[in-house]
Amino acid sequence: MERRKFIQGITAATIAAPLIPQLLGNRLYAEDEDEIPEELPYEELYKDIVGDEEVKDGQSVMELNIPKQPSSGAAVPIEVTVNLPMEKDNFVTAIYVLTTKNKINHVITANYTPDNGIAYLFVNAKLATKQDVVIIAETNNGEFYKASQYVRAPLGGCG
Amino acid sequence: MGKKFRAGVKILDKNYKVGDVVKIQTIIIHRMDTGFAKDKSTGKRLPQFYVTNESIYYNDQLICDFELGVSASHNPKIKFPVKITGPGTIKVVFEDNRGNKQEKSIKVTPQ
Repeated sequence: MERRKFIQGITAATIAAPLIPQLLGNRLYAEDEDEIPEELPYEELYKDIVGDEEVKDGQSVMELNIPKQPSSGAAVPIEVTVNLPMEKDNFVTAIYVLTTKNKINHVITANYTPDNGIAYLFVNAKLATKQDVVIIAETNNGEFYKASQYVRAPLGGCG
Repeated sequence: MGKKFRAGVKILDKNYKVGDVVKIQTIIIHRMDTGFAKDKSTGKRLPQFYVTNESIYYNDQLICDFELGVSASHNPKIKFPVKITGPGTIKVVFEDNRGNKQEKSIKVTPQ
């Protein structure tokens, strides 16, 4: 009798096991299928952001803290501090973090106001291969500053 | 549709006064599928599924917002500064491209 119960228990557990991840709350999947998304090359994205404006060299204005040789490209920490004033009439409105050789190169756009105090941003990015990470800062006067760093991420960061 | 994903908000500085700039960290538990990768077990292409927007409200006033792309990592972590102007709450609203939304708030108690 006990043996029968044991076998029943095992069978029930085997059937129920694939259902467990669905019952846990954090496993969300996109249910419907869609078409293959369009690739977004870096040049196109850069043109969308900057347009025809002049871009200044921001290497002296920005402090970048990005590992040069991360062990994995799946989550590369990117830390930026822009040393520009954050006052009422003179502040950084946006920080863009872009990659150059992923399929879709947009990581994040941070829209800031003077209430932020300083222009600082930390974000984790996916990098498919070794490539440049480009950071663009935009001020409310329409000035653009650009800084970049070469990151030797290994292949296969699912970009 | 309309499911909630997990997220967390935390103030990184412990002792802060009015006028200080504190750093706040948010973590979102999300798959962040690019739309190009394939499921290893079934071989099917995983559709694009990622967090698109994150807005920060300090006492119901919009401070800043973030537009994320698919190149942000799996379970994205974001840190940003906020200038403390007084006691209140900081509310963070997350949204993804399938209409799932999440709200988290944290109390601000300057010393």
